[in-house]
Amino acid sequence: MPAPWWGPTTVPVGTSVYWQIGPMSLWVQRLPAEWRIARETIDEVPEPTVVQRRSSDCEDLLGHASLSRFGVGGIDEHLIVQPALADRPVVSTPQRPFIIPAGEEVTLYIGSPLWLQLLVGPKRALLEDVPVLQPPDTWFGPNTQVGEICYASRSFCRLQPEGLNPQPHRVITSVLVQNHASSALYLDRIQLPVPYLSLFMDPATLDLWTNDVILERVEGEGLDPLRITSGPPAAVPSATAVAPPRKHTSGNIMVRAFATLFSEKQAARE
Amino acid sequence: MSNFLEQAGAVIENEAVQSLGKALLVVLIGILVAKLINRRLRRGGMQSQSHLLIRRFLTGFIVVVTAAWALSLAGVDVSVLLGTAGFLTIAVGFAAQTSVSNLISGAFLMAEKPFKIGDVIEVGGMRGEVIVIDLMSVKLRTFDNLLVRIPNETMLKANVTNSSHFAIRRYDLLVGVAYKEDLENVRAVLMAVADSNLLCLREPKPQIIFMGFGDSSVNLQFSVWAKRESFLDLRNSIAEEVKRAFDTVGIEIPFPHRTLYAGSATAPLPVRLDSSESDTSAQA
Repeated sequence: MPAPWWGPTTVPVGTSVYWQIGPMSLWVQRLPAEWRIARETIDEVPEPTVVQRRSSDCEDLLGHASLSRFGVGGIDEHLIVQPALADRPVVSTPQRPFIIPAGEEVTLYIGSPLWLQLLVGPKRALLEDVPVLQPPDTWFGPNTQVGEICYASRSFCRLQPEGLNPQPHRVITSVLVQNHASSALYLDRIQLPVPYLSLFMDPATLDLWTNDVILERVEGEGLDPLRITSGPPAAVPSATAVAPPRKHTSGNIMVRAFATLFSEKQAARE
Repeated sequence: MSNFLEQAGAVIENEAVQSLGKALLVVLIGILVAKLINRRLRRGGMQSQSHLLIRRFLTGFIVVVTAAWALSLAGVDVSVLLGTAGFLTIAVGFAAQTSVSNLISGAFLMAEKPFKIGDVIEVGGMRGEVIVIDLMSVKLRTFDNLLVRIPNETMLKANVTNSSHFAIRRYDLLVGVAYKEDLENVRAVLMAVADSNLLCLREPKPQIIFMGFGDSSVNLQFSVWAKRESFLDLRNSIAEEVKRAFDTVGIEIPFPHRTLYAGSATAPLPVRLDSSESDTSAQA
């Protein structure tokens, strides 16, 4: 069983750790009274996709444009590398229009970007909360006046978990769409409320998953509110929890704010 | 000692002193009530401009009522004062026409709420951040850090553009390309630029609008959307990236061309070629 690249670790004063996580290079240095963190993004994901290297000295990171310095008291050497989901909903656009005929239901496997949190000290002070690969922004709403800023993501709308080819910087969500209406459902954008989802890990492969999401379309009533199932994803029952949701819903697993999961543009086409 | 107490008792029993005491008490109560109302309004989560308006109106009302009551208790005939105030009001009204107009305009502005404190607005060529919305005027801080006071009457009459009202904004970049260029290729390059810029929103989709055949170029409008906070960054970055992408693939952004034509009725313009030094040396 492989060991996860995240979790608690120690960085003694005067040493550093380097991670390569998918397209992200991350340097963490522990110096007297400070932590230094620098990161870079490369265009293509190298092989192997995850690399961790420790160094007994600290190279000069001052040349990195992204270098951040954090002043801390004491010499605590504990660092927690914590994977997390995005801090805003992710709008996933299928590469090709996807249609669910009347009376059908289908499970889609949709990817979303992974965030990384770096916490230090006994109080778990948050130093960084950054995406492994910065996704572009997008707008989700019926017009330019009403809606919200989300992250944009491309999706292949895969129907089988076997062909997913997961990357270390992507998280998979299974979305069950049930079309109980008498007309076809044209799917051109899906808004995943990822801040309300938990993060899970497949212990066999270290692939990252979220809770399952269910969307039901009922005749004459449009789309029901999105339902988030509790517990690990059905595709990986042995998955273990990695991170709790960033936000908690007031009404158990019902997310009423996401009744317009699908774009209204598609509803108008029907 | 007893003499002093007798004198003090006589003063207290004096009717005029009693009236003055009551008037003073009324003034104190008035101040207390005004403070209490102000404190309560501060605690409430009202928008700052409404809050300010209501606070000032209530404070003014309490001051007037308290003053009238206190004067009445002190033995002053308020009706005479009110009569005089009537004449005064007419006189002051004429003198303070502009102020009253501003005041009423301010009330309309606060009711309509076309902007709030912190918004970036443009009024009559002035652009800046709203820092104060007062009964008489709106104060802006321009981006070169100047304070601009705009009377409410002007605000009500002028066209006000609020850049902070909606969460997203569109930037229109006007691009001219040479007539020889393949417009389909130009379109593809512009779309690739938008796709690679993380500040450029994926939805609403970027648009390329044909603006016309210009004197020297085919004019296009490249419209991209950004978060309100990222608008300036997008505006700067997208222009640089378009220029870089055009340079990379060899798309020409032409400068104005002028063709001299003397007309068919006149002789062609005489042209004389002067051989340069290099030409001379080459011939040698």
